[in-house]
Amino acid sequence: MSSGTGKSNPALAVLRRIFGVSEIGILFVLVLLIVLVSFVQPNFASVASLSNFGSRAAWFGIIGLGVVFQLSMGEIDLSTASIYGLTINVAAVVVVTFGIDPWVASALGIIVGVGLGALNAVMATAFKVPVIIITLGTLSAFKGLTLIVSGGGFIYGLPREHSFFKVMGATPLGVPMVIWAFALLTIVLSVIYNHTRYGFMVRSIGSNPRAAELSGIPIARVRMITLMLTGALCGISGMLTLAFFSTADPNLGAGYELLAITAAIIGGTALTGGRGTVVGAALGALLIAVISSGIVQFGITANWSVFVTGVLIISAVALDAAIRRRRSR
Amino acid sequence: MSIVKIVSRLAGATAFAAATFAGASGAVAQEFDCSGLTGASVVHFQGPYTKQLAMGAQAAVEECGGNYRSAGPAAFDTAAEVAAFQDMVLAGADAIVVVAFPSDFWIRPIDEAVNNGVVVSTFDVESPASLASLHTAPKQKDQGTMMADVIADALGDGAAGTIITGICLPGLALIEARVTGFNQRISERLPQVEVLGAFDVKFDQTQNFSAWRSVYDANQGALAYVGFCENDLPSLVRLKESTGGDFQIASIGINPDGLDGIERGVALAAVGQKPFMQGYVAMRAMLENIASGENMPRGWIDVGPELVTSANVDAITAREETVSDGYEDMRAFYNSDIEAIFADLPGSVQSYSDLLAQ
Repeated sequence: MSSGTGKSNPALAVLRRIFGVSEIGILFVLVLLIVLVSFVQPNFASVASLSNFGSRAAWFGIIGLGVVFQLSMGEIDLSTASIYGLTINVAAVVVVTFGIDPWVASALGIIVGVGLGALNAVMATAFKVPVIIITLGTLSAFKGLTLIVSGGGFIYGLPREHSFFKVMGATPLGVPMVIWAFALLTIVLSVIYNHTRYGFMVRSIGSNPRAAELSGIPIARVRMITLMLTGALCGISGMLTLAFFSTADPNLGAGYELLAITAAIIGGTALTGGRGTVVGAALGALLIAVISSGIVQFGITANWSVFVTGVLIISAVALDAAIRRRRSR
Repeated sequence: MSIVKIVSRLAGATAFAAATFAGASGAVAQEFDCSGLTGASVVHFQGPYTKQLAMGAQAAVEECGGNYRSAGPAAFDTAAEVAAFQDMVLAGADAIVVVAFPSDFWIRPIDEAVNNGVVVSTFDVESPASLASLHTAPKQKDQGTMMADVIADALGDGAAGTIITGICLPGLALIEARVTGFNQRISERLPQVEVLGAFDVKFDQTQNFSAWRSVYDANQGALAYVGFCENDLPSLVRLKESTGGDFQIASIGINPDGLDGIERGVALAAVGQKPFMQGYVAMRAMLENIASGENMPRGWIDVGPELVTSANVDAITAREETVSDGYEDMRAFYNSDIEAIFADLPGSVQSYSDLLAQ
């Protein structure tokens, strides 16, 4: 765009480019919250603190990256938390009970996640019902399998000195491995979402399923790939969790499906489908983690924290929406 | 409320006041100053038992002028409790006492905190494989033994039949130790009684009663039904009253519904774990050592179990009712026990291997 003198203004162009990025609103809210909490707790913006809530965000945020693809094509998978928990416990059981190498067991855990995602897709296609309906059932079924596999109790005795736990539970440069994985997956999946044919098909299906079908997009196949991708992400997050804690708990992941969906929506992915942002979902997960960590710094008791978390999420979404509206004018 | 109940409550309040007066030694401000220190407690869910765990820690911190923080999820959630613990580390806590459940899950979070200069102890559930310094709890096996003695006394030495047991968290070592203690003592005292179980009766309060009902339906005619967790006695009281059964019931854990059952003669006994003392002893030990600059002893401090029967239920009920007004009365009640431990703190610390000895 040119100035009144006929020459373009590079600074203005850069500013417009920055504020044209769809995630700028959520990023602004996130930075604002970190700054606010830092007034009360100066350590909050330290590397240790960022690693703390970064890890917390990553456990469910990795799942949230896959939710972006689901929501974009108009689907919701409610079984992600159950898949996450089942992959952890399956991997732990095969190590402890059968002596399987933890690296092999972790690969098995991810394969289990992929398989469960595929199962959801097969059933949704075969019975011609939305994924949300099928996963209303599989969230209980997979949770039940977790209790069966684990015997209803915690799984102890994992070889925490094994290289798997040392490497995947390490903290390179003081940053937990799960954060590195979260960042890498965000970049890779963002490229896939925005710059590949598969990503285009996902968004097309969500925008107008009928038009997408008529144009030859294989909806069932895209659904299968998406749910398998989400299952894989559940497995990856599960294996990173297992590597960090070296113990399996059949209750791990409770509530993660809602957190993952919330992260994606807060980040700017439309619940109605058709558009989304992987980077936004990552920022949304960080925002949720910052809120839950930040309210502790303010001394808010546990009984109030759940209510306060909900209010802050609503406020964050409202502020982000206001920034988007201002940008679109 | 009936006249009888009013009189018994007054008697109990009087007994509690007498015990408190006897235990108190005047003002409880500590000789050491921890005004520059922050002590925090982290529990695994919010309930009457965990409230007293935290309250004990709070009393220890505030007595020496320190700053107290508390955290923990509203409902049982391991990952959320770890997150709360890490938040306390970031909030600058100098000493943290935490319920390390499950034990192995907490090794890394605790070790990271200790390596960052935070002193960590555990209460209720231990983590001996971690770098946590102290653990405070009654010996688990002793709780089962104590309960077995009460049951055996009630049934009589010549009793014959079955006792049904229920466990809220199968496989958890600290609860299994209670079961072992109970079974061993019953076999010694009542050789003609067979103990069946322990059946899984669930931890969640809403599921616990249904589970006990199922266990009862499948095992009717027993001499006694015994639980090992806090939510069991209220369920057993409800079970006995709804079935009109003539059997003994008892459990580990003190809570208002259970105490009411003992008071009305429905329940035989409850074995308490002195959660207030657990929190107080762990936190005070840490703050004293930080203030003095000495190394923390490592091991376990036995705060001892507490038996509640019809003989002392009124006093215990009166004590429990003071919780809503703060910790002062509770602190005074346990003063003699607390000072006995701190008269020789190093001598009070036992090896971790003794904690779960079966």
